[in-house]
Amino acid sequence: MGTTIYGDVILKDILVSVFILLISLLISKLIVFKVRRLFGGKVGKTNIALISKGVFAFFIGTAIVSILSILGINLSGLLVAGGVTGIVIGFASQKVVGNMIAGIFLLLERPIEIGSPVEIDGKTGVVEEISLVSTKMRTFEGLALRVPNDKIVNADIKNFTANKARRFEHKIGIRYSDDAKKAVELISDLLDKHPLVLKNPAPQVFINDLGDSSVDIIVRIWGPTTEWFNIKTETLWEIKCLLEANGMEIPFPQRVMWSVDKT
Amino acid sequence: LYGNPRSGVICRYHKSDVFLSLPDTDYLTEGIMRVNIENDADEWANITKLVFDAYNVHIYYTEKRVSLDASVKISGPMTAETTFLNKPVEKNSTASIELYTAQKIVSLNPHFYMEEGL
Repeated sequence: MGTTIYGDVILKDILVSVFILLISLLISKLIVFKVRRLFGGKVGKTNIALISKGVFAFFIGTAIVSILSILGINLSGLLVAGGVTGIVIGFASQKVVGNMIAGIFLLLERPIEIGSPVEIDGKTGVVEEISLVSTKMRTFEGLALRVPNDKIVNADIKNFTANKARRFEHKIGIRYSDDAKKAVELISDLLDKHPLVLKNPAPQVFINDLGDSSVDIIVRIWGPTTEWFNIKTETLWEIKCLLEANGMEIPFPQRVMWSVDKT
Repeated sequence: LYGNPRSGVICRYHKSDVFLSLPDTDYLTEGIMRVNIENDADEWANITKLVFDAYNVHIYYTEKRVSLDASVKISGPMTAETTFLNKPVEKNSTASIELYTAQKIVSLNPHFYMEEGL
């Protein structure tokens, strides 16, 4: 145990350092496990991830500082000697450091959260992990996507579930020979009876355009963000069936041909 | 939606008639809610809607009627506090079974603060 490894550092110091590192790892893992169990379901996943990473970094950082002093490494000496090296590394790692700073802004501002379906720079997917340097997403097709954080901070972000309710629109065309006023009433009644279409803001159903091939009716519906896609698909089908059941058709694009009788 | 899309609350909507005495109801599909409204503000308040937190509802029933008791305290022209009361509307009512999820801490009297208009 008293065997000298280098300088003033003996075997016992190495063993103590390894022990401290292992204990720190174990304690940090235990605390992270407890945090996830205690706050899981009550606190957002992003917050839990942040707390877990913070706890882990704190314990490992403390362990490393302790180990460095046990191993006789003078931190202040390192800082002085590392000055020039730091400048070189700084220039070389501009982008990485930029991403890390962007990551900190992301964690503070929270434009996106873990689990949020988002569109960033034209790419859509669900956020799976937000780390300091990059954000990992899963596209709706199931592909893994990694986006550097500085791109996210500077990009337009569309978060599909940040708000409690959202609006979507159907455009329904009916024949000119169909009763458009009746169509509007039928659709309004249908929406009134739908359990998930919000009463406030109220749905809007109105004739928007007298098109080339059809009378165009716009249907605007507000629904809870968690249900909007189901509401959209259900209401579109139900509107189609309802109109057809009442003798109205959704016409194909058409042209009327007039011929001149020269006689 | 009560409030704005960003910070509002999604609520279950029910349009109800208002009565000054206990109405007859279809026992199997309807209940009655007695609402005691107190205006603590300095001006008249016009109420068009009430929002209640569906948690901690105390339902009582008799052979003919299902009922809840609630109170509303108006604090301003656009704000009020609503809560359910843990007492029956009619005498000899039986309290219904109440269910609480294991993770929730039982609060004695949770309120809902209506801040987006009455």
